[in-house]
Amino acid sequence: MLFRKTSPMVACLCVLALHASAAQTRPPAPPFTQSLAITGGFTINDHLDASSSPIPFSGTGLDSRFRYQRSFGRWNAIVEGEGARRTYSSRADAGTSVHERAYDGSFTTSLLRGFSSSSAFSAGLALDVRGGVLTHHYADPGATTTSYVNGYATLGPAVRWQHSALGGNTFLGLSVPLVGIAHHPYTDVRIDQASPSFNAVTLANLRGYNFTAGFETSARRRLGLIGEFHANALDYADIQRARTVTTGFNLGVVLRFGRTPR
Amino acid sequence: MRLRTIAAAGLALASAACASDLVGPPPSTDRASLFDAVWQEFDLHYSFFQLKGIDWNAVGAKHRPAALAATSDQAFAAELASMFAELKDPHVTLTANGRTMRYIAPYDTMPTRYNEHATMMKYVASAATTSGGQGHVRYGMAAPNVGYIRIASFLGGGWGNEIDEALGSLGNAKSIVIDIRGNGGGERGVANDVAGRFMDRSRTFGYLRYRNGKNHSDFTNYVTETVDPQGSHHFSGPVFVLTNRGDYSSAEDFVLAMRVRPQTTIVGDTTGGASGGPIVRELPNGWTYELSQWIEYTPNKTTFEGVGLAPDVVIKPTAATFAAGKDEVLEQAIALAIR
Repeated sequence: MLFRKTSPMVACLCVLALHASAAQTRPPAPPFTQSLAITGGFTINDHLDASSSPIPFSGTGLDSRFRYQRSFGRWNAIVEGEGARRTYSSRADAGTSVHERAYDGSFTTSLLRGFSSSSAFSAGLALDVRGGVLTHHYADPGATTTSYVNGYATLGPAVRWQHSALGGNTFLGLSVPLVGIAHHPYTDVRIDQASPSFNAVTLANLRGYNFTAGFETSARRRLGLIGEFHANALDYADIQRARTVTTGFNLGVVLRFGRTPR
Repeated sequence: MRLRTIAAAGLALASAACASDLVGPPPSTDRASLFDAVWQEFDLHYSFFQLKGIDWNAVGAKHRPAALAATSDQAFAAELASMFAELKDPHVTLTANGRTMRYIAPYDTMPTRYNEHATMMKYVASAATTSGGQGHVRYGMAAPNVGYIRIASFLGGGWGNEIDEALGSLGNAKSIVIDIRGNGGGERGVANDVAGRFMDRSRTFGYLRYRNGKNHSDFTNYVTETVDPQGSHHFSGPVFVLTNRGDYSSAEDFVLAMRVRPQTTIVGDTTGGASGGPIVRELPNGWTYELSQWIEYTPNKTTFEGVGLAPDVVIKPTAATFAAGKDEVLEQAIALAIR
């Protein structure tokens, strides 16, 4: 269901990006070879992790992100990181007092190559490492609190589209995991301490995407503002299924350096 | 360009709006769904199916019709509790609408012939209670040079250091009796903290294997349980641990840890034999339940679930002596201590 619903959105984005690419004129040479964006924002989260509960949870969170980008001719290397604190409440129909708190983060390295020297499109590979600690507060008489540790390291294709507009840069980025390893707890953190397990994953048991759309102001200046929307989803078909969807908006600054404008 | 920007923003907002749909709806709370959910969770996590020779499919088939025919939440909960009782595991509980139901073991209703208050009054008249917390530890001298420490429960976390106060006050004791009769368990960490006050070095006292797969035989490898010296006060002399059938879970961990210590004698009756290490789970209707997720082993890798840990010196108080106000177990321990 997750991908039946999200694939139209992703397809639309690709069509949109292709249309934009075809319509544009040759972009000017980038005035800077490197940039560092630092942002903060809020997220809207939904997840179901049967390791802790059969109940889906939803909530909000605060996150901070950075993105370092460096271009080498047609090659583009991007290193991104995110750290977030999220709180969840139960979506059970009956309503319970259970709630959750999560600290998680991700670290993604992408290496992309432009389709041509004039193309706004680049494509390549992304190595995505993400994980976190989920603390689940049960509504039992002992008010039990149990922690669950999970992590994923995946490799898959990534595409990026970048376009100059309104004196700044508009960009879209999309990556999907193809293969990797997953650590998803069978029960609580005690079992991780006793015997952590890692499973190989492929598209057969793990599917997801990481999508970013944003705009940077003042592309020809060293300092600009950035606003971006990000969405990611992950569906891991373990013995106990894990599904998570996060969307969010971030604002921040972007510092540009490297080659100066001519 | 403006059109493209608007379209991208629209798509972004649309994906944000439907995030909850992507995860799926909350599970159903009808009785069939609840029964199947709880049955499956036990099937995935419960650790003693093989050891106890339980055919969980048969148990489910037996109780499902009655559970689905229940005419009230109370009757449905009672049927679930009846299914849980077939596991004969004190660590398995169901809390429904604020009421907790658990398996009552045969030993739970047997007379222990132990009265804490009477024992304290007769044998440890000047007993004190540790001041650090909520009176978790009572102590005093049971005889010249024989200290006495009473720990009724290991419930609540972080109070293991209260034992330092007791040991500091019993500084003249050449031997110590630790009375944990009727201790139903609690926090394993506290039991380990207390045992650490009597250790001269790190010692292995048992092993755990966690259920970690969908097959009833899926377990981790043996995970070593150790007890290390801890605290500001240590006692290295002879120790006598008093046990009975009312000792469960973490109290049995304490016995396991003390058994590997030299100069330690377990006196009394066999412990209750509840070694499962429970986890808490929940149902979509707000009910919660606990189930055992591991198997605990002694240092020679034998299990004691449902069997208990036998004492070194067996003393089973008689009704007559108990009625006469005698604590045979403590008297025997004192006799061994001053011998």
